[in-house]
Amino acid sequence: MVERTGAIIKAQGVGIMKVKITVNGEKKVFEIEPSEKLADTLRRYGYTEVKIGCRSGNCGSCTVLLNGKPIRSCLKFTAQAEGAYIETVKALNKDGLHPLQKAFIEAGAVQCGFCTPGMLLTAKALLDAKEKPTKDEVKEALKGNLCRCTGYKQQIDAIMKVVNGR
Amino acid sequence: MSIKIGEFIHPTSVEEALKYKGKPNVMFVAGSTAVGKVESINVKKMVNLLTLPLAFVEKEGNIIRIGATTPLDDVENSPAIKKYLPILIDAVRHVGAWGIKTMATMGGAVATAFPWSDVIPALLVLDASLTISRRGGRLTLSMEEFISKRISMLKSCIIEYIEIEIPQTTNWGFEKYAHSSFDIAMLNIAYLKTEDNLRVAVGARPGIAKRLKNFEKHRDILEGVKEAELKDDARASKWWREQVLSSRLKELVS
Repeated sequence: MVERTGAIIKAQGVGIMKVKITVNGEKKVFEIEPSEKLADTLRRYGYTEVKIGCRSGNCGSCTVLLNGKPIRSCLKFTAQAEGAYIETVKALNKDGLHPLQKAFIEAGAVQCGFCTPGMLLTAKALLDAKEKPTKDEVKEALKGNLCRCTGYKQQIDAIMKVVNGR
Repeated sequence: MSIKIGEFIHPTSVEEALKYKGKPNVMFVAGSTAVGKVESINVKKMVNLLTLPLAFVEKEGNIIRIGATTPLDDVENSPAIKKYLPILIDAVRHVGAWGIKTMATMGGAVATAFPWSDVIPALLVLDASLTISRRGGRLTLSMEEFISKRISMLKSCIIEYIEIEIPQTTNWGFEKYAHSSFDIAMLNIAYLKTEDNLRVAVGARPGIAKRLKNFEKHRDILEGVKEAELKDDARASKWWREQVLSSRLKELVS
């Protein structure tokens, strides 16, 4: 059961537990129910840039980086993220727009924007792991991030622009 | 979907985790990717297997061991597996999205044994064995044996690692037939061929993957297709599956 109290919706009920997680560089202690998923915890604590689409791991909207790798936060139990380093899309623009964000804007890769945080984080993880991924590798990495507006071309073009500029 | 969990347990050893096996109202979770497929969960205790020291890939002589909580993404990027078990790389590469592969574990793929699993046909032709722990000690058994007994075994056992002898051949293949690279298989076929030995496994039949042992012995295509026990489902017809399998088996014996 959850109860909204101001900005944070507090967890209530039997078995409330505390979990220490670093989010976008800030150490946090979250009070959660053992059944709570990471996407729900993050949103409850104000990280509403984490979007929830399908809740079954299919759409990729809820993608966050856990210790640098993309995960489906709608499937991950928050309790299993104890001690983890989480990045949401807001980690990208701490010092102005990230090159990927700029490229997405320039390429017109955003329409409704719901899938964009997941797409950007998956692209960031790929570019962190590979200096010069090929277009096929970009497509492969993004295949689990569904977009119902754009048809994917603009996002792939945007990421390749960043890759080619390296 | 309704999920109610009284308490999350984080064991640090297999022995500690085993204490919860066989107890009522206790569930075990690793990568949690299967959670999205569960209608409802109502348990007093959820045991987190990810805190066990079972995420590893190691090579000893001509044996590769993969710990049960090793994520599929780590398997796909393991230099040892790339070098010695490329068929497994091909199978893992075809499993869903990157964000799933970073969560899903090898042990989870084996324990759930989803009918459309891409990992299981590859493990079957690699003649993989599983080492599992139970209160009485450790036990090693073949993949086939585990799959046939897994429901009862998982009540009392924890998978520790998968063991694979490096095959002495480069003639192998894994093929996934699906509507898209992101979709689950309509049919998948794994094979491994040496001069005098052929191993073939078929998955998404739509049942759990199986080795075609009669076909391997007699090389009779009709017998192989019959042995696969293919069926219709929403993804593909029995007829389509038979046509594809028959064609592939013909190529394998030619």
